[in-house]
Amino acid sequence: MLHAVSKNTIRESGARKTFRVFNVLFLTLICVVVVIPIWNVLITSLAKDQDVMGGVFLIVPPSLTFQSYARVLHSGYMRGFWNSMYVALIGTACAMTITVPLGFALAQKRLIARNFFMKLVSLTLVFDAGIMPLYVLIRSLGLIDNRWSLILPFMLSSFNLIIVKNFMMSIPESFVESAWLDGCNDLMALVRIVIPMSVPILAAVTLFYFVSFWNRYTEAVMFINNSSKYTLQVMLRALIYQSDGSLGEGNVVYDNTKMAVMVLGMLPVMLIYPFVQRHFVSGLMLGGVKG
Amino acid sequence: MKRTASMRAYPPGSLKKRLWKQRWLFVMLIPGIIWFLVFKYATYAGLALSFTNYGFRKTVSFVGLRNFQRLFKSMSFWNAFRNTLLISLYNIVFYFPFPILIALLINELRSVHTKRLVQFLIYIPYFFSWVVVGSIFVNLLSPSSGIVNQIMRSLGMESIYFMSDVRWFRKVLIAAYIWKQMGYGAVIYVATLSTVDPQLYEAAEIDGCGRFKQVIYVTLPTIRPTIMTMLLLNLSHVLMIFDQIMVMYNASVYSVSDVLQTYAYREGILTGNLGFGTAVSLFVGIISLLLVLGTNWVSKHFLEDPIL
Amino acid sequence: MKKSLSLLLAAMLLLSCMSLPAALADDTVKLTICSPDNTFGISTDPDLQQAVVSMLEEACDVQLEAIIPPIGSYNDKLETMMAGGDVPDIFAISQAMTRLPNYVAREQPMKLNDLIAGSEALSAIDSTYFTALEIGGGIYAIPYYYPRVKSLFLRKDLMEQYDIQLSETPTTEEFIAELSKLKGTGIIPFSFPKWIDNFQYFLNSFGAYAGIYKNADGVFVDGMQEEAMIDGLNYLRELYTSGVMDQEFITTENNTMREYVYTGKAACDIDYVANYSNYISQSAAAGAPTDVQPIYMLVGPNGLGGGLNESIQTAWCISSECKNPEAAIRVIEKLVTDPAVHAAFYNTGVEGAHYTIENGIAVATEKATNSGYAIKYNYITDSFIPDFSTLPYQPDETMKAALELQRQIIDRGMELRGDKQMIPAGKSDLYDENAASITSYWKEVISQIVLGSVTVEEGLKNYKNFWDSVEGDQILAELNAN
Repeated sequence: MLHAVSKNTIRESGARKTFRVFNVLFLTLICVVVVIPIWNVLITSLAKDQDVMGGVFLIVPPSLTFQSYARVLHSGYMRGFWNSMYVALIGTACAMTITVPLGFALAQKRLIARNFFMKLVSLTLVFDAGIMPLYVLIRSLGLIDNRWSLILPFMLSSFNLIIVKNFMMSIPESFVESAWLDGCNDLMALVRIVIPMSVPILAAVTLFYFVSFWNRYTEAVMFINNSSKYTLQVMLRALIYQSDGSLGEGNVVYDNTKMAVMVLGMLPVMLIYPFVQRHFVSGLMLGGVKG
Repeated sequence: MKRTASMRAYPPGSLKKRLWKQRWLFVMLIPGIIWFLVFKYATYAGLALSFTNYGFRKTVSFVGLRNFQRLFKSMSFWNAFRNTLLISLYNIVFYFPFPILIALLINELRSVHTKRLVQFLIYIPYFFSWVVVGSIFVNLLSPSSGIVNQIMRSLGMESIYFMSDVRWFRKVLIAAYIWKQMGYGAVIYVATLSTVDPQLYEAAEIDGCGRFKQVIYVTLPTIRPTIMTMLLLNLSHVLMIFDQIMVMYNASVYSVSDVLQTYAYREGILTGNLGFGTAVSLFVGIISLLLVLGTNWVSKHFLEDPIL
Repeated sequence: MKKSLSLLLAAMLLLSCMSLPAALADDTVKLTICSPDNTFGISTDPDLQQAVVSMLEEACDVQLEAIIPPIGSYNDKLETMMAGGDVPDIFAISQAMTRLPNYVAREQPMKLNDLIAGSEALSAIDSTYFTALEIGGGIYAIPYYYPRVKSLFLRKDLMEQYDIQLSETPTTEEFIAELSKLKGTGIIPFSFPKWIDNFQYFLNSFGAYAGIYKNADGVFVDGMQEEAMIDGLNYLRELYTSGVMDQEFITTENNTMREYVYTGKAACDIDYVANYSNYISQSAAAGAPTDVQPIYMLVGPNGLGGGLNESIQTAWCISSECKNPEAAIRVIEKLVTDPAVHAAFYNTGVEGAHYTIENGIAVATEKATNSGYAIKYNYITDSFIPDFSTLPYQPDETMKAALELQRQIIDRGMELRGDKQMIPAGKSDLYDENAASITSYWKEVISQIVLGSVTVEEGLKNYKNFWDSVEGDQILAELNAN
């Protein structure tokens, strides 16, 4: 961030100016492309039933009503919301407590049998036995119809682990060693030195975990039997699916309700984002000491 | 400096002594490793189902390589395999550089607020479920009412029914993927870029480097390990594409969009033939493993950045 | 960072207090029942669903654990439970004609012949509905409601406005000629969904059948390779090129198709005859009220034709592992034949929770309305129960009249329905393994032909190549070997 407002700005060269203009234009274009469908979703969710029938792509709001939101909020939304929060908060907390130390340990080149452990972790990147064996495992652990079945199997992701581990590897070993000299053991070195230096990446990974817990759908349907324990994603998806029943005996769900479902489904996670984003800039310390 | 540091990290002495020295590392390591053994490796026993007719009949019997023979003989399988590879290739070639580019461009913006706003906006589509993205794209690309075709017509072009055109459908898939995932993909690069040492830029500037050269000589080398890591991670699961295809394809474009996971779902899971479905999973796993090992090898030997 | 961490911890503690174990101690029979969320009173609200479960428990004197997955994931959930060894005691199956043979080959459902014979109420149902689902003399599933037939529905207001002259059984030629009058009006003449199976409606007019079927001589043949298919496909192509069929049908969902007709954006679509009254009420809700005319079948050049027969769609099974089949059949009996239980489970829910009765008319409660629930009376025409007059609430007069008409339309639709066949599973391993492939391949070929990506000849040639690659002739030989 600092370099962007570099102090010794000499006169800007022509090429630089052209680039800046191009850059702003390009990003604006990208934003427009992204925003049009988002705008469409918002407009649709705020329209009346009659205005959205028959799959239209709305840009100009035809009507403005919160009726769809009211409908969704009253359909057991809060129950699903709390179930999701339970899973996502505990899940993310557990995930970070297990991922960060493991990532740190694996990042230490001196670790005995490090190669073996890395292979063990890496294999899980590519092999996925599918949902059935996992179902059988969850069942034998007695966790069917228990919310922990949505936490335990997903509280470590080799994907996120490798991101954390690789970032920590870029921290020079001398930092950990200097902590030893201060009488720290490895755990304390992790907490006092390495974690503060990794804040941006940890913020990103926290976000990744939270989102993955929040959005999990298939497993929630497979492992949970009692509909009062369904997460928000399941309840919302169920609302959408009702109209897709080819028999037409389900309830009629128009696009406005579907879009309201979507907005309400993602709102909680989206609101978290700005808080996480703040931490993306606080990792300057590493750069400061590295040179 | 690095070398001597790592020398010190390997104290001479017996294994027992070294283990004791690293006891805290192992305290941190063991819970995660146990998790991997329980929740990953225990389920891998399930991969053995691919050598059985599990789910196909009530009595389970060992069928040897029959499921694989059936796979390799099937026209649909090879078609799905080809589509998987092609879509994955497009994905890596067209999607993968996108978040990097976006992150770099965002980084060049001057105002912190604009930066955050742009970042936030392009991040939103990630939360749209594929069901919704699918219906948005159908409306967006409709030949009669979609905005894309309207623009094309006003430019004097013929309208195209993208969703049913075998020449276009894969491009639509990639476009939708980029649209949905670019902001999310950029998160990790934005986070990494924030750790680049500002002094390096200043030094480069003193050496007479313009912004472009700074990106080439300072930014890219610093985030190269991250790029390689993300590339490898992307490759590891690029073959597992499923949800998107499931909601976006239709019968007329099966030939260009049926992938291994949808194939396995249709022929394995939906008909209860789990042995067969698992055989496909195992196959996907092996191909992914080759991709990952290949990337890691390239990274290790040419860029001297082992990822795993 | 520290602050947010402590906040997080506090939230975690709070949340873990919320999960309390449920204690159960009772002697009554305990059963699990699994059915998608378009049953149990059609509401996604768990409290309302539970009200229906409690009512069912009381009516059948059993204790029920209900599993109510979203309808979109129902089959996945059922498959997972079956493969994982947790088959529910009672479970609903959809597309019974297609799925049941597969389940039976895997010995998942129990043979019900004796149990049905032991139930007076179930034995009273016309036995042809059971035999439609018979496999090797065994009955493994109990139909939940009438067989399903699809016909075309045409808006009467547009017929008048544009002078469209179509009877309830016009010829294939008339259909294209008359609907062509709508060209250039901006109205889609005929809206069609992305589901290729619906083309069978038109293939019926040419005596063609997509997929493997048993012909008049009792021999299994492949319909895609019969002469009749060529005529059928040429007609479908003409339907598309003439502009009568929605040019964007392949991306049209069922509900979008219906909304087109409700709003008058399209003149005609294809739907279940039992949905007739929905067209009356929904077109009114959309601000374009009209009556619709069913077109039960199109008469082809050789006088053939028939409505789209989807046979028994939903049926009830008892798990072969069920410990207490007598209690399970009692529950199914109530669900299928008891007016109060059937109505509540199928649609209307429970008095007090879903609706209250005012002057003999049911009014949805606020809680229910908010969860997407609406009172519908389709059960009156759909179920095997002849008489619902014992219920304390009745539809109003207009609804009654529409339902009366719907009843007649259903009967007429049933009369004019086309062929639908159940292919036995467990007879040919080769067929069982490749059935899904074959189905998805003919769907691909037909849709490509209609959209014009390939010609009829090319399409059928591709199909033949595919057929050979799955040893199609061997499959037929195995199916035909007595």
